[in-house]
Amino acid sequence: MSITGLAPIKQALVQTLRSNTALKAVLTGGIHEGFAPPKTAYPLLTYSVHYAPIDYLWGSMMLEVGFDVFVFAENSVDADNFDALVFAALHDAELTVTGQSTLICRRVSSLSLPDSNEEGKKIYQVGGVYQVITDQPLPANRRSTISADAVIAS
Amino acid sequence: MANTMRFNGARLKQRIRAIEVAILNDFGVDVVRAARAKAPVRKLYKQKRRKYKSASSVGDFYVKAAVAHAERVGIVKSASQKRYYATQLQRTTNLGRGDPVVKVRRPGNRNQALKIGRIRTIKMKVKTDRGARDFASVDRFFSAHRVGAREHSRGEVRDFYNKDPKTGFMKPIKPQKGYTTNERVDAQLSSRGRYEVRSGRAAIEGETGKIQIGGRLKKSITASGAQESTKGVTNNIGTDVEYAIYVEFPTSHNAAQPFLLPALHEQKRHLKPRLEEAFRQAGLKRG
Repeated sequence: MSITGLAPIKQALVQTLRSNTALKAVLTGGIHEGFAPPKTAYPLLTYSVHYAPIDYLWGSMMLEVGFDVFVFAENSVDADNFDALVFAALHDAELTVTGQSTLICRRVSSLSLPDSNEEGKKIYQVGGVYQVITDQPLPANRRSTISADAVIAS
Repeated sequence: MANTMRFNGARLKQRIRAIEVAILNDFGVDVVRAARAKAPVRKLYKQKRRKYKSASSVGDFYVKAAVAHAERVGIVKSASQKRYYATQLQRTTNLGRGDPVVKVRRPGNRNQALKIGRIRTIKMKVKTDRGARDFASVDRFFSAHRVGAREHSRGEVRDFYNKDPKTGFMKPIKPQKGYTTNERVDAQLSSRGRYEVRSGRAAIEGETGKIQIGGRLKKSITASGAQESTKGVTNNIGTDVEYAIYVEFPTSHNAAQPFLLPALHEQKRHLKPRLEEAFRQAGLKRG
């Protein structure tokens, strides 16, 4: 059994977003990692990893990953509506992560920022940070065990 | 007579608060240090120059012709300027399919190019002995309105000019006065760095009173210190720079370069063990 890192979690999140038919129908600009290429049509969605600390316990490894998921649209009503669709798809979602058990997937913060495109037109950016906490057991040769023998002399 | 012991709740609470304040102060210092290590800094200093490599000998020929043309019209004067100009030229495109175009890439972002009509492309027609693709003369410069754009309009050479809305004539833009540096510092700065110092964006006062160029975001990350409030003990860690949120989170133009939240989450897991250890040493925790 080998340890898996951040990649399967990201794949699971993206798979959940891409398989959602409602999102696929409304996001004409597509789903992009980091930022969208220039002249991409709106509305679009971007995702990126914000933080990913790892906690090692005695027999397992816990990953706590924060994803920035933002929707960009040309009017505020659409941006809010599409963000609600993303929230419905990801908040408390059961992600299927290869080699790991998903404990929590929830939105921990929301953000709304004004922005402008290449032509100077106003763009509405709405979204937030989604936290995914997963757990996986460490291989047998990496686990720590403690044993103690006590002898009571009579 | 039974032993009695008075339990002073207020004093106990005071001791606990003092420990929490001390630990939270240390936590704030650690988060600030980690966030400053992660905060991005704009490249305002000259980077190691890359040598220009042409894709073909024909490309080399057109680049040399473009540099020679630039020298004739007075854009480049010294040998070092010629070398720099040559590194900024992309290889020729559309070879054999139309007029060769040598693109000139100048530093600066797209919004800046829209505001200031800088020279972006050179369209060259150079005489060669390659048969049907011979051209008669060297053409003029063309100004373009976007980075990397091809011929947009014919006209005079324009650089650092802007159209006066009242008269309609082009008038030169004078750079704003900000901080001035000496020749030694100017030699180390890139053109972007010199612009940012001139306009006052990049130069900030250092702790010793000296002017510091670049690193404004990194320097601005601070912790307010642990303070008691109705909610408990709080320590506000952050930055007062107005563009920090556009660095921390992604925008439509740029990917995120997070520095604050990753630092917080890295240090957060050490907070509880530190508190427990402090309480244990103070004799406040059982076991």
